[in-house]
Amino acid sequence: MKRFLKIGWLLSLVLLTTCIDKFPFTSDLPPRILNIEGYLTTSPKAHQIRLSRADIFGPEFNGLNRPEQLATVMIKDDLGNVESLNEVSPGIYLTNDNFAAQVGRSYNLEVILFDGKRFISRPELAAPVPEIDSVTFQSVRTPSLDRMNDEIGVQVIAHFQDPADEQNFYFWNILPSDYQLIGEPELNLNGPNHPTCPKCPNPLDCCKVCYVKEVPRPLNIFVAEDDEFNGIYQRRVIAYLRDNGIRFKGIFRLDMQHMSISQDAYRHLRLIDQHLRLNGSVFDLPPANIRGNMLNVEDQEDQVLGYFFVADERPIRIYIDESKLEYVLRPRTLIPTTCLAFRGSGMTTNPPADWNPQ
Amino acid sequence: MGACEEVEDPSFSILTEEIVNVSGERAIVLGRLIAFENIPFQDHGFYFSRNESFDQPIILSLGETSRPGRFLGEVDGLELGVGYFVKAFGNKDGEVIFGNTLSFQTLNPALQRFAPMTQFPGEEISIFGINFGDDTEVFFDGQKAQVVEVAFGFQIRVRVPPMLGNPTVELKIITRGIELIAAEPFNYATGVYENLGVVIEDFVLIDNIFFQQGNRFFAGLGRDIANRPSNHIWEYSPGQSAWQRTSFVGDTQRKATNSRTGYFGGGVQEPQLGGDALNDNFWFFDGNSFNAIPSPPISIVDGLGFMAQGRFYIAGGTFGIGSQVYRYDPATSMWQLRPNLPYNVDKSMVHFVHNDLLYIINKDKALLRYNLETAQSTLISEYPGPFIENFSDTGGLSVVVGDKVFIGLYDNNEDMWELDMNTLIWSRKNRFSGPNRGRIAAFFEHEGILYFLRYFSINPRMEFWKFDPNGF
Repeated sequence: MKRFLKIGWLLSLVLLTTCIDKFPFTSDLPPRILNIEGYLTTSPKAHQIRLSRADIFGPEFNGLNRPEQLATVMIKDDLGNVESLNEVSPGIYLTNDNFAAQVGRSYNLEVILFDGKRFISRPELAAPVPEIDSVTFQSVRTPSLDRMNDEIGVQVIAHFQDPADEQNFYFWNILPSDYQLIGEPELNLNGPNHPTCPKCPNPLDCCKVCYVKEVPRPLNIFVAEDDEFNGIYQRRVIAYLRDNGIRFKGIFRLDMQHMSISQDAYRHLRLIDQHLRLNGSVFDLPPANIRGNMLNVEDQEDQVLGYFFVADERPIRIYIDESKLEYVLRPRTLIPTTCLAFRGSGMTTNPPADWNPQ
Repeated sequence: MGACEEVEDPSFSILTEEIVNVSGERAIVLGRLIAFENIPFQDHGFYFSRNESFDQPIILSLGETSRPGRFLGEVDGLELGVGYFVKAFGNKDGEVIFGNTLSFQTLNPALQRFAPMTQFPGEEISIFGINFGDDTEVFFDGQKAQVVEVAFGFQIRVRVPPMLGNPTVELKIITRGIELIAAEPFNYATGVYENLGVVIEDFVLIDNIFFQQGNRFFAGLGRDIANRPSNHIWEYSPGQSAWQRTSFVGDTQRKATNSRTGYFGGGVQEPQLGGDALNDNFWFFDGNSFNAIPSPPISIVDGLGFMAQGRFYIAGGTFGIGSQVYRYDPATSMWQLRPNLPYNVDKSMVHFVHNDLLYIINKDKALLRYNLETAQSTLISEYPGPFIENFSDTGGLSVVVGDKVFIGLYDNNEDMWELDMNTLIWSRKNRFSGPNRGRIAAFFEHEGILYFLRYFSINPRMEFWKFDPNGF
């Protein structure tokens, strides 16, 4: 009996090992799809279009999004006016300094690559955006994955009247913003290799307040369509800034754009937002390339990433003072040295020329 | 069971989805084949027509296809400024199936501007506008020009034809039979140079001063190319055959500051052992004689000098503080300290005064306007000629004639430009016809004609030239 059992074990072992057969598989590298990023608004300035090639993005390796250089890039309106963009750095194309979209006009972006491939966007209309009456903010506390600590953040709220007689699509875009970085130079200590007194208190006179520019992360896309609130006065959250313990130690100056966009642009941005919110759960959307509005004139099968949209824009600027927030993240992050040393270059003790928190 | 099976043709729809873009003679249209499976079509594309009945259509054939999805078609050769109808089609087994019909209006061309507005024959200008056809022709006063390129319907590069006589001509284009005339005329670059052959005998002026009173031109002091210092000042009036030496009796004086109107002084004098000796003497020529005026509180070498509001200003230089400004008031014979300039200046920088405002071109080619009363400096334009560092970014001339300023002939450079002070538009003038490896020593203006002394290091000599900016 024992012998049979042994043979049985051996047989099953042989069967199991022979069943596990390595399947050689190498996935095809995805094509380096053209990526077109940029939008045009009614604010006169140098508007930017960025051309690059998409590359692998994943846990093992992130490829380089190499710039697409030497392209001819034009923005055309429905009257035939053409704005030719200049390549100011690899893959970065700018309009002239005072170029702006006109409300009521529609625009195409046309791109001719160095290899002759030609792309054109579907027309995008610059629809008027309702005026904002005021912008306010409030701090909020929300439960987080960390059971011991709630997440603290600041909601930015726009107050405006949505027009009743038209369908509106909104996009609120956060621009690079300045804030006061507060250091604690009075808590400075000598270094561990100090010859006479390592780690001894060595208070510094300078510098307590520095100014930094950043785009607050994590980045979420705030868009809205007025299907559910057509014609109703709005008090709507248009941005959320997470308190990371540093950002709201002083005054944060938020710069944003309040924009009207087309229905297709709204759909595109909403899909991107959904992809940004993927967290790996079974309820996530399957990741996929999001089709934009750029078309290859000669080859309709050629997929292009990115969406060129046109918007009527109203700039938003608010100063968020820590003293006006109900909650802030505790404990605050201490910077026990001069604030200039916190992140190296780009830090300055001089406020921006137009810094006016009053 | 088998008899019950029936083979059905797969269902599909053809859609004319969107007019993507329309210009003068081109249109891009988007269509879509909607189906749940591949369906073979022998041809697909778009029909274009001036009328909705599509008689005599323009057929844009995109060939065979079987995949459902979007298709894009671009048609050109359309008439400008008229209405068209378009519908997508698919040819399946000899039967042509059409989509819905859309309409659009082609655009009319317009000429908006051209640049530069002044150019040499044989060089290119660009004409900007909208909806130019590929058949565009350009005419300069009826003379047909060579069209180099019609780029994307909004820019025409054209080569300027030879000048037939009139330097100011009408610019006209004809595109798809439509004639368009530019609002502003085109100007050929003008300007005639003439070597007067009148020289200062046996002397090449360097580090010198110069000034003008009426039709009397003065130049002198400085040194020779052989480093011989001079305390001579010569005078010339248009029409004379020679420069005459004046009765100036001061010391040698090099790198002096001068107002171009008769005030001058400072700099250094004949080299001494141990280096140059500063010379703080200042002078004014009153039309008859040279009179000493008080020395300023500072020593100044290679300083920038100018007259404004009837007062003599000295600024900067290569000795001491390069931005310091002093003002001499002839009414009080007093020097007064004025606010520093926001940048260093010296005599090698082109500068001029217009309407009592000081204008300076720095070595980055920026034209800066400085208000002497408010001490405000504003960047207003950029010198359009080329600069080569330490080779052609110094020297030069600047002559104000009414609201026009003639600027150019920088060291080792032959470019000459006219700046309109009302519009700040720069216009080319004919290039200097003499040797370009020279430097300006002095310049004057009389009755709209420019005169200048230019010296040459190769085969050392100095030449006296006349320039008629409007000659051709």
